[in-house]
Amino acid sequence: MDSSLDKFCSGHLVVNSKRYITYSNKQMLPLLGWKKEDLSSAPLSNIFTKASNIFIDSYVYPLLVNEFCAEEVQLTMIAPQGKKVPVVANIRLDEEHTTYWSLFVCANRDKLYQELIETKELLEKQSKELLDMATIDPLTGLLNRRELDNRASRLLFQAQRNKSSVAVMIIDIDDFKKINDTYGHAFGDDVLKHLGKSLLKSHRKHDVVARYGGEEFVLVLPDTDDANALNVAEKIRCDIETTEINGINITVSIGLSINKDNKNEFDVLFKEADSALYKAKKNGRNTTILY
Amino acid sequence: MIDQKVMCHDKEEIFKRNNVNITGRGDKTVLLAHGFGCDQNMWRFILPALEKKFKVILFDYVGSGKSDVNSFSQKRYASLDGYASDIEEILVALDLSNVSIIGHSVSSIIAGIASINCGERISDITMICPSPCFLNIPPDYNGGFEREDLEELINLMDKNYIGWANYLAPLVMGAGHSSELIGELSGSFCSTDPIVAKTFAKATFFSDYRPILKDISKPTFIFQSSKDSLASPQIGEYMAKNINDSQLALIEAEGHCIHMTNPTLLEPLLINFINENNA
Repeated sequence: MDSSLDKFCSGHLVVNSKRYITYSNKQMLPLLGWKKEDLSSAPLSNIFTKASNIFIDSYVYPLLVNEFCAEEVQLTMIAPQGKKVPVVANIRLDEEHTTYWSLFVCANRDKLYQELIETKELLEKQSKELLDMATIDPLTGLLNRRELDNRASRLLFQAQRNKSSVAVMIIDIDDFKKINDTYGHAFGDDVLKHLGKSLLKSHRKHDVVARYGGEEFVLVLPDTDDANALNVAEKIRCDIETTEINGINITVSIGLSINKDNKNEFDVLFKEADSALYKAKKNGRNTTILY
Repeated sequence: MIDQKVMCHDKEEIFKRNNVNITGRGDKTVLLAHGFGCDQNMWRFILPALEKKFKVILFDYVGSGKSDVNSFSQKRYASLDGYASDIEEILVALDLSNVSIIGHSVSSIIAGIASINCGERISDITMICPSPCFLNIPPDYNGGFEREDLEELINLMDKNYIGWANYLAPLVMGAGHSSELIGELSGSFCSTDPIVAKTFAKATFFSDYRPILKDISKPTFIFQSSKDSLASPQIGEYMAKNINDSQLALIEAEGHCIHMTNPTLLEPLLINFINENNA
């Protein structure tokens, strides 16, 4: 029987409960360039890479002890000279905790899997980049207008269910055209970036902070009533007024709206905040108006 | 922002989220925390002995076993602190105090973190085959693995389709079925979502929690396997040296899951340790 086993194109091992190899067919030897004495009575862990040994201990043995067999397990064997060979193993465990290993070299299958993994990782990376492109404003790193619409609608939907109040705030830099004309567009971009950063720094976990376009920023604040919203807006306005950006001072005007009377459409609230902003601009700028 | 999961202390939600099971009887409560790889099923060989003496709480970390995978957050579970929060939230939700925690492998460290954050609820810790850091950190610390070894492990997990069942179940079932039904199908041993498994693997194998050992002040019993490819006896000694109030027992056994393969060697020592601390 032993000589027949030696003719199979697969490796066969018997491993005792102490995890020592007690039998191997001859096919195991040329597989990795082992000598008979390397294999007979060696610990099982000697013939696998360290990663494979972790895998055997964390998955294969628990699986064997529970279900008595483990199938199509991919592992990497290692020869004394350090040569590595990917193998697929089918393993059975008996009542004495002796294990019976059938091993098949799978170098080609391994290459295919590696390609699959790399393709999957590339796709994941690309889809994340696309998602970022679709949702993030590249200049400021804030959410863009499209994502603002999505998030704001979701927040307002939740607010409707919880009957909580949500504030929509539009922040517009005063006389931004003058800044661009006087200092150049690169300077103007710096101002936008700076403002974006400071808005991000001060926001709460569930607030939505977006760049709407041009010099306009929008915040959507859940669980925020009139008084809170005015407080937040005034704090933002004062902080900006008193902070120097690249050597100049800027001011902003702010329009606010709250989802009263079960008005929960974002475009309605946005229009209200926009008309409040218009009033703020008319009233001499650097001020906050609640619709 | 989407990735943030809020702390949860609602009893019913926690039971569902962490698949909490309570069994056994006794004045003393023991919480069993499974290690990397599988789920609370790993305890089933040692459970009968514990059930006779103690009230036993079993659970799965979010993402493992039959926990609620929807509660998984890559951010929260990227470090062991997230897993420790699972334990802390279970203790709070069930309003438990004076609990003995038994942790296998990485859960030894997780239990240690929980005991630092939530000391008033935990009486003592039993660690089975722990390691505070799997990486070799020259010149003094020999965790047993180089970074390449552990990168290879992550790659191996990919190639073994950990969690195929979860991947395929929704496809096989067709869309629109309840998540409960799909959960049943994919409940086979050790299967878990591949992203979850890899997140757990990275949190486990690429971290270094040696600095917290000195802050573990609860009585600690360490079981070390004499032949464990994940943690050598030197690591057991390192643990015992760095945890203040600790005892070390070297168990003549093979492998990393000695609570599954050699439960009878652990049981008397384990029960004795817990009883002594709560006399």
